[in-house]
Amino acid sequence: MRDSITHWAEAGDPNAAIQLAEIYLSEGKIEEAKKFFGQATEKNYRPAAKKLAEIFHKEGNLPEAINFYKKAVEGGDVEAMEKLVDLCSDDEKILNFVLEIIDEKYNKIYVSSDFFAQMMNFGSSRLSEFLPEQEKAIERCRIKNKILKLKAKM
Amino acid sequence: MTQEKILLQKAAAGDLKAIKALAEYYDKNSGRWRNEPNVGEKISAEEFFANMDKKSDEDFLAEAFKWYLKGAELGEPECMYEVGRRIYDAIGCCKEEEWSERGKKSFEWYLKSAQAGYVPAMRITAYMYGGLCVEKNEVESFRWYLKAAKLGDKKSACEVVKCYAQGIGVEKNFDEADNWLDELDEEDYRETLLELSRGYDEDSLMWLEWLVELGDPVALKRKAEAYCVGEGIEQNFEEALKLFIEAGTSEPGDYIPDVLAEALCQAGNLHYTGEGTIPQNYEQALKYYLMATRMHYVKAYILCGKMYYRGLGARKDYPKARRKFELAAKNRGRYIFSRPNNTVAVEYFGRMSELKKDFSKAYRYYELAAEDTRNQALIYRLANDYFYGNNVEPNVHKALGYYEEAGRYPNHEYFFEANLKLAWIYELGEFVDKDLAKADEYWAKLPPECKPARA
Repeated sequence: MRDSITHWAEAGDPNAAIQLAEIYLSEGKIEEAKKFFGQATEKNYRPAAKKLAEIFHKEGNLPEAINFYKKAVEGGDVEAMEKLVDLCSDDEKILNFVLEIIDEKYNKIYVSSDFFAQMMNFGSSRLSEFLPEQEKAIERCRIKNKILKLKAKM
Repeated sequence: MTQEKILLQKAAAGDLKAIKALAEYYDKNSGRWRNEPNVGEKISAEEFFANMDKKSDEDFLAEAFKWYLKGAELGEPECMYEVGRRIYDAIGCCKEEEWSERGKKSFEWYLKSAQAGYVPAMRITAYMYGGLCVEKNEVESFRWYLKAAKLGDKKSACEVVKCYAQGIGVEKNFDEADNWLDELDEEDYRETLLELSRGYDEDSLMWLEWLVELGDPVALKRKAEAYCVGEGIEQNFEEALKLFIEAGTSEPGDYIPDVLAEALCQAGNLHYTGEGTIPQNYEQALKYYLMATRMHYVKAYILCGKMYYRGLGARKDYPKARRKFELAAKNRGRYIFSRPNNTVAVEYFGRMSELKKDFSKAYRYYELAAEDTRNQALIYRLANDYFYGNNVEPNVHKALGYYEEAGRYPNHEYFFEANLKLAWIYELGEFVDKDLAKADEYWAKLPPECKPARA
């Protein structure tokens, strides 16, 4: 299987590149992992950017970590938003960048009468139903408020 | 002589009472009513649904229509109404005609019946003048609602209130609206005011205030939402929090408890997200989520389970989290014929089994949760895991199914990633037969730069 994954990754499949990078990561081969995560990120394969950011973050290479967290945030990754805000809590420019991305999404978690919008964005308008998109919207609201409170203190 | 023969004789002689009775006789015996038990009679749910599949006798329905039509032509208002209704729903007649055509024809009969003084027909005439199958005429619509309301029709009186309150077909007149509100019973009064208070304009909020003063939980919740959104009213999360709590702890009355429980969840969400000047506080959030679980509210079970699972507002407690998810998974909510609305809880079950390295159990739960196609991230994850054999035996067939599902619609979260993977699978072959034509179908869904150069 590993040979096949390597062959596929080298042929240009970003999904295989991520898989190969994960294998290298589990073996402690960080540079190889970075190479293949980077390859997938270049092809806009969203799950790779956060992985790469996390490696740089762990290594203490904050400029690169921030760079790749930003890429993951652009893809709508909620965990990356939180990590980027924590890393750059005094950088207004980056906080505004995250805020902008959050505001582009549907975050109306308190308006249960907006049936069609909720159907379109959360997958359901039924009160008792709780779906992944709604979970993400709640997290985005929490991060947004965190940013607003950080900005108010600046 | 049978009842049918006696009625036939009289009806043929032009006896209006007999004509109506005969039409009703054929209608009752058509089987269209077999699902409706007689007064005092009880039937089981199994019987009720078994009967649903039985088709009604079209010959009897056609006979019923024929006699209703005869009665209508002789000027009987109730028969005219029945003819209108049957034409609209294509019961025993007009099967081949388009709905809009049937609508126009039925309106003519409803109007005739209304003109002859039949109150239910007046209400429907007024409704159809709202623009259903006929040209919209708000003045006529109001006129018929008012006429029916004056003859004692409560539902029409509700509409009259709305017309006066919103200036539909008549000049806006709050005093008149108020007078007609006095005519309504408690349930209609509340429903009408709730209808009037939809939206965030000045008038809607004024009507909402009436209900808020009465402590109506739906109105309290709606006003809290208005404070959160900050439309028509200044955004104020502290006020919203107070109102959500008041709504959630009030008496449900005729409402289902879900409304109250949802208000409590929203109070929890305000603490969880730390809106406005409300400090973020997970303990308080959990407190309100837990209060909502007392009403067996599925969403609240999931929210509480998540808090225990992640150790927010309480220490990390997997058995407690598991119990909450279990309750969410078992409770199908009030909508017993819909699919269970708890697949997020099932997915969390899977995550907890995965933590214990019980992969076979975990993936059983994941697959169950992935049956709900709204769990797109999980579907994409399962596709990858089955393709590469992460934690499970590789299964290309299953993986392909999940990739297909993840890439089905452009609004799917992993549409790009899933289609890219499928394109590569058919481009390179190896795990399936190489099929460049099929690969091209997937490449076509993606930006052109994704496609590799072919030798």
